[in-house]
Amino acid sequence: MIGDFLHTTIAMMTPILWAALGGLFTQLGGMLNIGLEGMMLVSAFSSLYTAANTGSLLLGILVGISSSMLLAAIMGYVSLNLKANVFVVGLATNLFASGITVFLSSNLCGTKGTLYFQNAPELSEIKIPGIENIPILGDLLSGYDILDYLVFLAVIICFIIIFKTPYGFHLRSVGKNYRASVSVGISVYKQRFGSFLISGFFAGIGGAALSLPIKTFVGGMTNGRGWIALVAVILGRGNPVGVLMASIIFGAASALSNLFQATTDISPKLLLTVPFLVTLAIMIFYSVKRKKVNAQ
Amino acid sequence: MQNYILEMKNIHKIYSVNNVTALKNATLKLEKGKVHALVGENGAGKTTLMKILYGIEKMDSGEIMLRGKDVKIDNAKTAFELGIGMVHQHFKLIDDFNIAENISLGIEKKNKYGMIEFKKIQNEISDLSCKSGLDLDPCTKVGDLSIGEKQKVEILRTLYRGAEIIILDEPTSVLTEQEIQRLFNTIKMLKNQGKTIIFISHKLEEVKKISDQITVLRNGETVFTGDTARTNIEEISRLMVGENITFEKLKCTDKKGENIFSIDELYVKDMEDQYFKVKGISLNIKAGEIVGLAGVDGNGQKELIRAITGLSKIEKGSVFLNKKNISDYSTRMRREAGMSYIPKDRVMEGSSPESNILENEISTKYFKDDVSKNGWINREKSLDLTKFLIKEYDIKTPGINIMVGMLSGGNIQKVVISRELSSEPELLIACEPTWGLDIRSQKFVYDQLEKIRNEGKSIFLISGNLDEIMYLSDRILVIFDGEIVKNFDNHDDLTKMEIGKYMMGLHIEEKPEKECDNRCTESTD
Amino acid sequence: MHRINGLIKTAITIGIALVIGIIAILLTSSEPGNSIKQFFIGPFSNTYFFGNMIAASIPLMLTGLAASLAFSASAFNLGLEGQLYFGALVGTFLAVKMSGFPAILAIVISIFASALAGGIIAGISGWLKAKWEVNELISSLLISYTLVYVVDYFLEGPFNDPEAGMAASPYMNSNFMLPKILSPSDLHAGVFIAIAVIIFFYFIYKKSTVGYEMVITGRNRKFSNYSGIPVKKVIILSMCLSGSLAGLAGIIDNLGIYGRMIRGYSTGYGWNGIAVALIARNHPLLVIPAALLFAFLESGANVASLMSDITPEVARIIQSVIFYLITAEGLVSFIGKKRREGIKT
Repeated sequence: MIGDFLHTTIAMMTPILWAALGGLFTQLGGMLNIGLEGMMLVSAFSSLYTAANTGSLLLGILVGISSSMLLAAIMGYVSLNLKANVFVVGLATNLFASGITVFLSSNLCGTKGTLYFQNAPELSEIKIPGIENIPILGDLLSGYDILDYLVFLAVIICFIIIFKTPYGFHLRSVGKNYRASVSVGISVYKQRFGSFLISGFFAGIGGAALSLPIKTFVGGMTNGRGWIALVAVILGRGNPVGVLMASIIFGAASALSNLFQATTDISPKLLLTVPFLVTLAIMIFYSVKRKKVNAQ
Repeated sequence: MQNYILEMKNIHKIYSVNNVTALKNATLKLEKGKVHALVGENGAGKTTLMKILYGIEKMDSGEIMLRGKDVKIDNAKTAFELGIGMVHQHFKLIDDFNIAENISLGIEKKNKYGMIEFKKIQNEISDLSCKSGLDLDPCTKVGDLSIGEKQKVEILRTLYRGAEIIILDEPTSVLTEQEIQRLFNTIKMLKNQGKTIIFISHKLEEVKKISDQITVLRNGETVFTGDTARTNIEEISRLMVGENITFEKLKCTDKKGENIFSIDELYVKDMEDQYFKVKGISLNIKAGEIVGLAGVDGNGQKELIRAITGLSKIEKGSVFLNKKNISDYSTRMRREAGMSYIPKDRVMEGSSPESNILENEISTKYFKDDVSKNGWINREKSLDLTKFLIKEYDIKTPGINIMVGMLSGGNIQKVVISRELSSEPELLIACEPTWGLDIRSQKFVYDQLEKIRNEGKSIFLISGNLDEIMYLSDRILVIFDGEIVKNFDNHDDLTKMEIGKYMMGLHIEEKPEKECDNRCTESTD
Repeated sequence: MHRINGLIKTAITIGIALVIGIIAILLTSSEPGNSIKQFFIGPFSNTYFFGNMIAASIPLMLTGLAASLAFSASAFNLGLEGQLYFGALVGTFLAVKMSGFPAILAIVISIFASALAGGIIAGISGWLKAKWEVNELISSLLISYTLVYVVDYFLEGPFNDPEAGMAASPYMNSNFMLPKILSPSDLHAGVFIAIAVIIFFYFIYKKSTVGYEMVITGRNRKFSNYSGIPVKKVIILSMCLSGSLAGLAGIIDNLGIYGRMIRGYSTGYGWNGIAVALIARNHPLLVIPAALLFAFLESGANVASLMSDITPEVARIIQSVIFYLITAEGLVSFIGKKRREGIKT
């Protein structure tokens, strides 16, 4: 029972956390990346399509990452080089992603509806030898897919990049006071463009983590996860561990909604609102806590 | 042929944004190990010239020779690789980072795995800080430092980067008298270590005191270079300004009336609502009186003003205007009760740069019968009002529909002042009213303040410029750490030194000189 | 000067977007010539297509106005879609329940109820922002996602018409339908309502003290606080007005075209409204041509998919390219620079 709940939580958390780690980097560089949703969506389609047609999961994930990074590069180019409003470019990314995925699915697969790839390779659960057989603990720690395990590793790697390497140090300085960074010869442009690319990289994995386990793609299947990831970024206050905590809460909220669907008569549609309401509630709670005296 | 460490010859620079010629034929020659003062009025091109030297701005033509060799400086990185360091007027420090992080930013030491070695950096910096006499603990968060200490961090940063030529851009403008003394000691020490200093200022007494050589810029042109010892201040002053405008201390009036404005035991918290920045301040201002508030930035002035004007919450205590308790009033109600306010940041707070003059002039009265009726703005009336104010306050503008952001600083300030005074306030709060203005605009502001004081209005003047405070005020209050620590009558033998002592909090106790041991007490992260 | 600059930028943006759309058609259509012709000419080829195009622009005018109103006060209302959808549900519900009422009364009540519902929803985000600094962009969006599910729940369950065979509400009294124009197309009298509302808000925006407060607050919030403008009130009010316009946009199709509410009938009116506002650079009157442009793209793609073999999502791609570039400050100088370089070489 607890094992099931934890598994659902992790399964729900993984795509959000990947994307949120991506959003964390742009956030540290001083920008809110609204395009996470779109990047995830494009990768969800391209990774599954590639994996199903080549039979290679790795190739699928790589193509997913590349497509998401391409979108991120466009976002970086338009907002940094052409100096467009980064919010609007983010919205454009989302709109473009929702258009292009349906466009491609209609032109490549002949349908705009649900795409199910029967013979796509399985993103199988990994049984950890040794731990697997320990009662309870085995149930809790074993049997997740590779992207679930890797995301925890990614949190640690992000932590090191952000707090221990020059890149992370420079990126944080740009986000806190870009004038100060420029005065010591740091290129704001390079830092921010880089953060977009990293953001695309992680959001790409997030998208793959959404479609590959269920071998299914539906238009708009990200369904607000990019936005929830964005909230996780804000709540995480620039720290990957904070982002992890926030993502776990959202995963648990979704798992709870699933649990109710299975055990109660409440309409599934209404239960689908739970993650959003929980996110909103936490967002409000967070704001109340750090409420400022004046509205500016 | 003399041997110069640095020569900047015939530098030209035109800003393409507004086609303003910032520099024409500017020339600067430095001798090694000397303090070279670069003086000139606001807008004379001092900062632009230094930004070109430091690689932040590009020159249109001219040449830079360093140790006799032609150099091309495209960015700040090249500049400090060539041994040029700059301490900007507005510090380029990150408040959330500690001193070591700020100093090492951009040139971090890495271990073989590509990780930054913060420990090693910290040790290097504490060694350097002891050696150079700039006593700093590398683990202190920069946000917790005083202005003077931040400046030290900036200087230490240039040293850490191996600077041989150090540019100090208006370094004294933010310091108290005592801190200026310390800065001069630091400068002398650096000079003894063989560093070359460019000291930018428009205060000639300081220049006379600290510099070996002097270069005067006027309207982007070098009009004089020579040894400081052989020049006289009056002559330099004439060269700088081109014409003579002098300020004489305002005479106190005897016609002081009743108390117009008073504050009783006021407590205010900081913007993050965490701790008290104003701790029980009481004061009162009479009709026809200018009361100056002197203090080092960050001692609660901002919070005090925000609480008085209704922009921040009052935790405890009351504010009275014309005997009415206005503590619970909104900003608008306070304005209606007779308060006007010239804010420190005239561009981002005092005006709406993207709006035209009319929209700026009516922002405090658009809802009144003067300019609107039943919720609809009366175009004619507001236009008449704006035209009147433009004429009355001599606002130089190509037209009434010009965006305020396109005006010069002096004229933006005129827009602000005209709006604030046209409501005929009982109390005017003026924050840094002449900051960054040229001497003519400064004169205009002083005349306006004098005029309304003589009409019997009260003025609360907050300024970091002690000269200004001493020039205008009838009384001077000194704020330190959220409290009023002294109330001076502004008589003629009051000295800056005396006021400065209270601004620094030195009246409490002389701090013992700390031993130089800056090893980190706690680790970061 | 900068107005002309803005026009050039808008023209370049639309030009680039169309070129990309044409490329997409060339790549995917087996008869690209015909597809492109249908795309551009189709919406004007007969009164049916033409009327449908104008009809499609009606909700876009209203959401465009809704977005520009909020944006000009610097309140980022991203929840238009949910406000629209929820407003439509409330209005439709009342219209269905008021079956015996005189038509004009029922229509007025239904419209006002939709606007009120949308306004309250958006107002919550405005209030959260004013009270606790909750980012209105995210709160309005999360509430919007929630509401779409809630409305779908009603359309599938308690407020479902069992005979519909899909997630749709019962029909309202057919007398309540707004008069048709250019029959048999979808165009209806709602277009006049939309234009009247736009003109009304244009005057509010330009001449009233409320409009002044919004514009000044939008340009510089610090200055507004300093001047004593009641900033919090302005933010809440502009969010409310924005939401109520979205609610109005929601009900107008149901009163004008469908006579009931169908699940998912909004084809991204909310998001496209944001783009419309950006193209119009938040100017209320310019919202009209901007909405027509978006409706044209949508209709062109639909006609071309009927008459030829392209995917109608081409419209979405073109729209998103416009979205990408519409705020690009560097676009004009970029193109100018390239051209100058081109001459040099």
